[in-house]
Amino acid sequence: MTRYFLTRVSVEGFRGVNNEGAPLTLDFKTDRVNSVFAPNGSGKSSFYEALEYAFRGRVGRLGEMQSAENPDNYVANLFHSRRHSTIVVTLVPDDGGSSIEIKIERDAGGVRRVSSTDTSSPDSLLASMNEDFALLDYAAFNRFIEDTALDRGRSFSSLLGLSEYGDLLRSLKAVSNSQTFRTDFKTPELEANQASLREQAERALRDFSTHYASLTSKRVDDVSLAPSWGQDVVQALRGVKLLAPLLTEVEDLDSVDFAVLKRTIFEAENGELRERYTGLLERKSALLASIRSRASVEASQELKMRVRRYDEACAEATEAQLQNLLLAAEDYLQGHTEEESTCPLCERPGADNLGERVTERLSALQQMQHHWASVREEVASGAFIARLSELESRVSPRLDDEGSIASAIRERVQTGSGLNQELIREGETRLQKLENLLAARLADADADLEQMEASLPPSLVQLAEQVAAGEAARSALSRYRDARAALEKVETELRSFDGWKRFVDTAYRSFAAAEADMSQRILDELRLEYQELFKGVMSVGDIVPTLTRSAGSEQLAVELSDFHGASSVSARAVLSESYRNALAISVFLSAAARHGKAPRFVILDDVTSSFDAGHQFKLMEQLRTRLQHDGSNDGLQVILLSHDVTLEKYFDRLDDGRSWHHQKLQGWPPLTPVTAHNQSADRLRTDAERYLQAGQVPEGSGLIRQYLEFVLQQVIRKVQIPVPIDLAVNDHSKMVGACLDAIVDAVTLRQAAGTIVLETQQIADLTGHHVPAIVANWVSHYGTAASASFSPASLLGVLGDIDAIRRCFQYDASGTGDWRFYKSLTRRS
Amino acid sequence: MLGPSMTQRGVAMPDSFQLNGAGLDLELQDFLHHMSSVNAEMTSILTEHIRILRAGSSDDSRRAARSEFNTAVRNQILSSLAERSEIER
Repeated sequence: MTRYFLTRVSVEGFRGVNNEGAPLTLDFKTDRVNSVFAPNGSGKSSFYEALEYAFRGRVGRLGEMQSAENPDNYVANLFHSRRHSTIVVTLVPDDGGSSIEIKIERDAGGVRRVSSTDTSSPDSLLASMNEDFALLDYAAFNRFIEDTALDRGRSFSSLLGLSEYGDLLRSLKAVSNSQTFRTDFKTPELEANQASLREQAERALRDFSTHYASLTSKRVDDVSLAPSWGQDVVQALRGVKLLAPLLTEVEDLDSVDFAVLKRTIFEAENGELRERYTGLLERKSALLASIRSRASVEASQELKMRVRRYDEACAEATEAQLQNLLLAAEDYLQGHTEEESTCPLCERPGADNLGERVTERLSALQQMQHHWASVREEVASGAFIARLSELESRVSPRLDDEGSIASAIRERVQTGSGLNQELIREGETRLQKLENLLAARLADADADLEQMEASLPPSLVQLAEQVAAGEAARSALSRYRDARAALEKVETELRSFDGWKRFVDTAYRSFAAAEADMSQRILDELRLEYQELFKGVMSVGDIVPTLTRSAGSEQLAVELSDFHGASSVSARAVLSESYRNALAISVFLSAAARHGKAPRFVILDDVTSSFDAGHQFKLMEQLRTRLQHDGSNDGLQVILLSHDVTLEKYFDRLDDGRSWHHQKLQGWPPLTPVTAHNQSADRLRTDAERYLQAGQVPEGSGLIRQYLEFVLQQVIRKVQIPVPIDLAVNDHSKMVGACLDAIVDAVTLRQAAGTIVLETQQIADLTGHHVPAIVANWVSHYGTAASASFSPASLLGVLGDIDAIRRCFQYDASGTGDWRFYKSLTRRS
Repeated sequence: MLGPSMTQRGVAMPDSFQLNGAGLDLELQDFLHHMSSVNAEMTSILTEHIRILRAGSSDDSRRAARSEFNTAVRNQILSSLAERSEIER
């Protein structure tokens, strides 16, 4: 696939970079390491965030802010008049295609717009640049070690461009998760319904089994025979002679008309007559039960006797007697009109005991009252009146049009109007009539019952029970079948869901196994690379990191397979920050180098902050020699952003200009724009020349000395000229002279030995012209501080002599001005 | 529409399947082809499922997509069963 280098980025109005009308622009080389040095507060982080926004559509740091802090307000530069951000990136295909410029804008309303005249799909091209390895900062490396094994595994997967695999794996895992599956598919409800239906089916089967057994004398052990159970019931009913003709055309139990069967039995039992018989019996029983009295006509004798006694008492204590008594008493009180010897109460002569006589008369009256009370009691609760009253009301209320005699007797007693023997005898007559009528009616009923019993057929109860069992069996079988059908439906659903579940389980396991296998293979492929890189950066052989993917999970363990002889040691636990950082860098860069996705660049932001100078140099060297694309290999374009001056020192040391491209950000935002300056290897010379051409001798002369020292040390280092130990370790004022002495001495020695590789002319120019000229025109005067008296022109001549000294130790490799240092004084290359 | 295989046939573990990291877009087709040897009908549903899941930009959206899709699959299975039952009747 086509991959892309990043060759230019310009930024305006974004984050800390205002640069309104004059965008900050940085150019990057594709075939060499690009470094950007920026002092603190000069826009480096803003530049990195601009790339984040361009490729990822967001600014990571702002994304970590709370929404209440309004992070969106801080995307555009606060001092840009239009609050309009513009980022332009230029991508160059690695297949030789034309460069593509894409403009990313963000207006004051926060709306992002992407445009390009070079491609029809700038958005998708930018999106393809959104790979984890393309933008790496110190935090990413730090997280890699400090994260949990699971997060580390995921971020590493993402780094390898395998995050989509991880996402799918997690999605499949979520789908096959039993708990979520059961929730989404409402399985618990189905299972509850299943249990309920099973119970219903079992209960119906038990019911059916009872009726089935009573009809067929068989059991229903084998439910596979359920379809024939109905036929068995029909067959059993067909075995009844009375019912068989009705079941000839019946195909199954559901077709049986049990109402017809029951009506047939009813008719066969002469059911109407049996119904009347039963009704008569019930009425007779009711009649007998309703007449609770057991008295007869003879019971009237008691009442008659009591009435007679009353009558006698009345006769004895009449009102006439009482009147006479009272008149006599009146006469007595008026003066004895009668003989003195005649009793005024009893009219007897010579009565001598009047008190006794009065008592006797009063007793007669009391006796009369006593007998009346006795009559009243007998009427109220005596057997005769009770019997008469019941029969008058229940046997035949309309027997006598004159009304109830019992009621008449009760009324007379109640009102005290007297009760005579005649009325009692009428009652006796009435009762006798009623007794006769009752007896006749019971006799008639008994006769009817006897006649009915003679007419009724034998009972068909057992047959009726069979029909009832058949009907109950049909009901139970119907319930059983309904429950079974519903159960089958539910179980089919559960089986179907389970089938799907097992399928997604299979899909998950299959994909998980493949993904784990792939990850482990990639880790195996990377192992040597990251171990070598780590070793190259840290210069240790007995600390060997190893990444291990846990079986069946996304977890990625970082261990030290060798830690000074110990094995399986936690890297996080024992490594210092710089080692941990180096390990992460080694892993990330190895993974990035392996990556085959669209971005063919890696931007590293402040990744060396935990390193000391030595390790920084080693990392730079690893980047340059192992990772950087040099125009022929398949490496990446490395872009380093740093505020560490070590990069500048490294750049000076490298100083060939062919494998490194260094730029420097300058500015003081928001007061001034941020600008980028290319830094060439001979920047000291360029600056000195600029000052001298401007007539600024003091400024220029200082740079000439630095440039001379730089060139002499460069010659010494490049061609490996031995120097005195004090020169190697001291930086003293005699350094220039000492270096010149060391160089001339070494050349003289090798020339004398006949082993020198320098051309004769170079030796002659060096020793006969350039060195003497430098000493005479510069070194001898600079130490006395008299250099200020030189003219700019003479100092420019010194610059020429310095260049000429260096050229004495170089050769034209291709004959086209490709000047390179000799390998040493005795070897060309 | 789901056929009998959706509801009746068992699910066998497929032969081993390998990924090589060439990119999920490329390898997904191989994976789905591989799964179709297990059950083609179910694979067609899974394909749709994966399309929906991959369209989700966050865990939350993927979770919602999963729930929504599971419900859709459930309804589809029930609909299929009902239709089959109707045909058998």
